[in-house]
Amino acid sequence: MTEEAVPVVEPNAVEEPLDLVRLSLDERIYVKLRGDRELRGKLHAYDGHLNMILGDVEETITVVEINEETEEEVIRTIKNTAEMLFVRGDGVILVSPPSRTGA
Amino acid sequence: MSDSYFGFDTTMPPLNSDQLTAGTAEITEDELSKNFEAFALESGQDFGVYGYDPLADQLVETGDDYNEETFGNDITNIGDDFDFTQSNAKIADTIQKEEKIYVDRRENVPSDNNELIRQRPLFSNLWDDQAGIAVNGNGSYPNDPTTSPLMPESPISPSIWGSYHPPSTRKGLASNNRQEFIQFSAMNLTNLHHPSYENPPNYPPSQISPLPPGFGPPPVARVPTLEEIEKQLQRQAGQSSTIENHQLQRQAGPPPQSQLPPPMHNSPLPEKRMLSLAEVEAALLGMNSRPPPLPIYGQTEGVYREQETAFLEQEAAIREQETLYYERERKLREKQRKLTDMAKYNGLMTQNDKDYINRIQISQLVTDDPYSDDFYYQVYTAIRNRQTQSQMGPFSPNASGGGAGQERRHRNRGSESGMLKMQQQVLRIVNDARRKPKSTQLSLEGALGKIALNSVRNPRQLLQVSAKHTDTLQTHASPSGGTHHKVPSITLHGIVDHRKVLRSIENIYSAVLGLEELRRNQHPQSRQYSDQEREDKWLQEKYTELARKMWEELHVTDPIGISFQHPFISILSVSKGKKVIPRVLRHCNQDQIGAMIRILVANFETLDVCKAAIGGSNGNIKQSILDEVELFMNTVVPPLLQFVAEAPLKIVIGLLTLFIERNNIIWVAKSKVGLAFLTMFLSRAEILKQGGGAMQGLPPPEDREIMQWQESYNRLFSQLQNYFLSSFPPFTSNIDDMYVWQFLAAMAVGASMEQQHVLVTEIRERVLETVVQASRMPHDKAAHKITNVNLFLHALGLDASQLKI
Repeated sequence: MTEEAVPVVEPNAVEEPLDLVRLSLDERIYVKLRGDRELRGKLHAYDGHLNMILGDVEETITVVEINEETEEEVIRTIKNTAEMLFVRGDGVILVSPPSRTGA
Repeated sequence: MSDSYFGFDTTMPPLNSDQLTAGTAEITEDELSKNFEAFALESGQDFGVYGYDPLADQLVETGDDYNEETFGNDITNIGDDFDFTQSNAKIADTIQKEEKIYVDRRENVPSDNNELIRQRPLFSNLWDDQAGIAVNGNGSYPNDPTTSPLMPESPISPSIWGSYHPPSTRKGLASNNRQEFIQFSAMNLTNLHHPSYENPPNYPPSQISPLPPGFGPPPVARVPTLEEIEKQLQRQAGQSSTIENHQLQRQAGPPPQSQLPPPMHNSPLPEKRMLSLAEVEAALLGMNSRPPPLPIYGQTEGVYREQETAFLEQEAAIREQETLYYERERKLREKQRKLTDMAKYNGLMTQNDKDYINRIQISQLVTDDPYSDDFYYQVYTAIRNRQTQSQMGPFSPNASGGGAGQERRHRNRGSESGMLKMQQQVLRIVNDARRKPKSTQLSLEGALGKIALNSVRNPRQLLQVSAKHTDTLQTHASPSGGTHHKVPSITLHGIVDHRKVLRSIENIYSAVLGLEELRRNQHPQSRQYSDQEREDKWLQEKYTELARKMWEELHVTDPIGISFQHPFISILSVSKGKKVIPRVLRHCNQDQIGAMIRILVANFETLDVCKAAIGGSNGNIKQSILDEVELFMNTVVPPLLQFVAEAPLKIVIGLLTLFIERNNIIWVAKSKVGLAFLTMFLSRAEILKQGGGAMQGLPPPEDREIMQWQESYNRLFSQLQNYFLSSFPPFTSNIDDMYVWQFLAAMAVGASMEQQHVLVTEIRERVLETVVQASRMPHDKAAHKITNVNLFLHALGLDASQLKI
């Protein structure tokens, strides 16, 4: 994350962790969820539980399957898209703001 | 005897068939009583128990002198209330079939003719009797001599038959003691009512007269009795005719015989009293247009059949009623049971308690801030253009501003209803709540710490995430009157901190939302507080404070040139920053908008929609940038356009000059947004030059201003000369180039003859290419292309159709 590398020059740009999420409102963010799921979408709203409303979401589910014959692990990804999604906060592992080129 | 249906001794002395068939007229009182005495000896039954007394002996058999008096003489007043046969015709078919079955069964039984004939009338007369009672007992007792308005002077009091129908017996009936009833009616009627058959005037009340109110068992309660009797009769009919059988029949049969309604047979006048049964029968018989069967025993089988039909019909109707009644009765009982179950809780709460609870509940629903508590409803109603005030009713805090007068009015008639009282109390609660903000904590003396008070509006907080945040917002807002230096500068050492830009945007949104909320509360529902002025002042202060904060966060007034990108431009470079602009501008005054547009124009080159939206030689622009351009055109440009469209020429000149001076016009003119701004200025100036400013009440531009404008225009033209074509997006791209034609048209309008010539020469190729291209396109697309070209050509007084390719 380039974001974390930038020193916080003034104390009131980001004062608490959720401020980072707040700054990402209306931006495309990356959300990692339990169960090997990832979401990329535009953050419309969030709350303190990290419940989120995402728009234009692309969901990626990673499935690991074991081939019974060769006992090899086959990793498969499933992609879904949703116009609008409510993400319940208890499944959220990580929220990442979009990386900035300008900053 | 043991097979008696009702379990009592049904043995009766055998009747000889002569007696039975000879007709009632021949059976005298004496004979009958003798018969019964004999039977009583034989069977050991004491008929005296059943109330036979010699009253009947005194009856004058033929004296019907008082019939009119007794039964009312106005036969025309007979209503059809008791015409129970009205609907019987509907089921006549079924009944006839039933009867046929019955007759067939009868005829298959080996029995002598006499008996057959004898049994029939018994059977039918049985129905006659029982049905009569059933009908009479049917609730309203219209025939009761004491109550019937038709016979007010009736000398016969109900007490006459009191001895025959002692209340206890009746009660027994009411409690469905059918055995007793059957026994009672069978014996009693046999003994007593037979005479009445011949002496209607004196006797009828005791026999057919309706039961006294309250005594009468519901008709349905008796109907099963009829069915039971019928069953028994049928069973008996199926048996071989032994003496025993005779006796059984005697037991069951005769009562109905004697029960025959006297008036029908004996009295020439249709008696009021007999309406129930006589009318039914008469109507039935009348339907068949046959004379009423006078001597019962002398009837032919056909007549019996008719009678039977009639009674079967009645029976069906009654059965129907019965089921209905039972159902109703069951439900009623169920309800009653529940009520009694709950009755033990009755009176635990006083009306005060109930009101108190209602108040608590309602006060929880009342909100001081409907917009945040019930936002969607509020917006919905606003959209539906309804009078929210009237709709929200008296409980609405906004409608509750009736003040002391309203409250007093309520108090005056407060006792009228608990509801009014409650309303008034709720009003008080709401007003109190408004005066002192809800406390969320409570400190008790001696207690360590505080007790959190939770409510519907203020649930217990599990996370305290927003608390600190609001604090910081407060500290931002609190130093009122402070300069904008208090607002964190977005840049440090000339480098824009993107996060601070975002932070500023969020703060702008917060302020804008706050302003919008204030406006909503101000306008649609003009709040009427007792201290309205103070309230208004408070609102005004709050509004000004928020507007100031918003303005500071926009960083419009930050000096130009300190940072690489002006903070305001940075805000506009973020899509949510663009989106907020229309909402921001609603809370800005004209000066602020002017300042904003000047900053924008002065830093136009650095706008993302300008610098990033200029394609290279291949004209490829990223889709995301195109989206941003679209967004900018839809959000930022329209309100600014509106501002420019009302601006006097002086400002337009200033803006254009600034635009030319601060930006590389050739470069900017390659962007859609840049051209849009230029077009905006050019067309406004042209309108003002032609006196269009008069519409806004602006004085016509002075000559000096026009001179200045012309100077600026010439500067613009000379800079763009030889580069007009570069404004066009490459032909290969699918971008609609209408905005370029619009710009060229605006240029052409203000151009001198020479300038027009230069313009045409430069653009000529493009015009021709476009027209050629259009000729190869489908019609609608071609038309669009031609229209675009015509935008420019019309400004020169030309048309695409004049072009020869």
